[in-house]
Amino acid sequence: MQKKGINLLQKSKPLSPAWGLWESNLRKVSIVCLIITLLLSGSVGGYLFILVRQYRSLDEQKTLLLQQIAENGQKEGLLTSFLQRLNSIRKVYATMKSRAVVLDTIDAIGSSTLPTSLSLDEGGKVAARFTAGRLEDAIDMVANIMASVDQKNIRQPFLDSLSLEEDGSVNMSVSFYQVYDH
Amino acid sequence: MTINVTLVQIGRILRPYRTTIVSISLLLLCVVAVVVGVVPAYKKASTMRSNAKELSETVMLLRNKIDLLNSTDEDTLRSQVALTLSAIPSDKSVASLFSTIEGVANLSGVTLADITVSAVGKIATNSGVTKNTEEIQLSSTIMPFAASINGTYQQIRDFLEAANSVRRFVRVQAFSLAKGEGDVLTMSADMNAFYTPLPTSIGKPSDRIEAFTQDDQDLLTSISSMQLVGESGLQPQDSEPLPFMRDDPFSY
Repeated sequence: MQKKGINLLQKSKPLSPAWGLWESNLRKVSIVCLIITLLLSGSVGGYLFILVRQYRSLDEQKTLLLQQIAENGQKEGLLTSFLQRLNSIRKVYATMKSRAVVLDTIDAIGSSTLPTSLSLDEGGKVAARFTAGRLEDAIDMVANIMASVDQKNIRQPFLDSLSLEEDGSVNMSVSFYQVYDH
Repeated sequence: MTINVTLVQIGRILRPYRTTIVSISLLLLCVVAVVVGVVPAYKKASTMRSNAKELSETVMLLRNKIDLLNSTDEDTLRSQVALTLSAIPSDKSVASLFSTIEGVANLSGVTLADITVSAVGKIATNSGVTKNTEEIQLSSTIMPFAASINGTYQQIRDFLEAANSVRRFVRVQAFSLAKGEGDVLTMSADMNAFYTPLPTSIGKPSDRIEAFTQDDQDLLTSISSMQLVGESGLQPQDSEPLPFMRDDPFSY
């Protein structure tokens, strides 16, 4: 009686030589595929296991750090408030201009002559009215205006009006934009 | 018995193909294992990797935040906040504004003839106020006011200089100068004061806090060098308790 083996891969008599060759190649391919599948499963499984451990560790660290931050809530509030206010202060401070330089410029233009009126509008335009005792003083004032332009203290100067009075005095209105060094 | 005969017949038919059947079964098993097991596991690993990367960045951020908080002394912070409040208070603080302008007038020698705050509005709360473009840019609320000052040319010049270098911050937007009696001139100035309410929330614990930079330190030094005139602008007794904290972190 022929013994029946349990080896599934037991060689049996092929139907034909060609069929036997095909069977042999198929067996080899199946074994290779099995090995590759086992390797792939092992490596992906191992990688996943490492990632899960890493994630859990990071999660624990995050929980601990959040707890520490919550314990420092008072300090965090102070720091947040301080940094926000500092940011506002920086922005406001950048817009502040010393308008005293306008008076310095008027002083330089008028020399010893104070303006009879002076104004600065919200657009930054300065308008001044002078009364010069003599025409030469008025000419000096115009020269001072040009010098201020050259020194880049003012820009866009305009001589708005100029009138010679009967007594020889000169009324002149000038306007310009002040240049500020913050 | 019929079943046994059928099984025996099936066995006889399949015996020559036994090896082939086993090989094909193995191949099928490999395909199923890859499709059902390996590919989903790989996708899960990719997702897990990007999540772990995000979590790692969050942990780094939290660690930096803790280090920053631990390196900061609370008393120093309180004094720094007080310094910033003296420059720009947390509410309109009209009284400190009046005393600041008065202080500047005393410093420069001018006479303060009149001061008018044009839009005091609600003193209690700022929640209904709509901010204009400039206020949004400055992150502060502007409170316009007008001042009328008498003095000599030099005194008025000193007033304008001092107004730009004192705490609380004020800004001269426009002015007009007219001649009075003798050397005395009268200046009418349109000015701005500023205030920034305290924040009502500090955000989430995982939000980033920027570190204190050298520029910040330089700004603080500039502010502290500015003369404090009149009231400081602090209103510790008026601080509203923050709803989100058991203890008010902004209390002094």
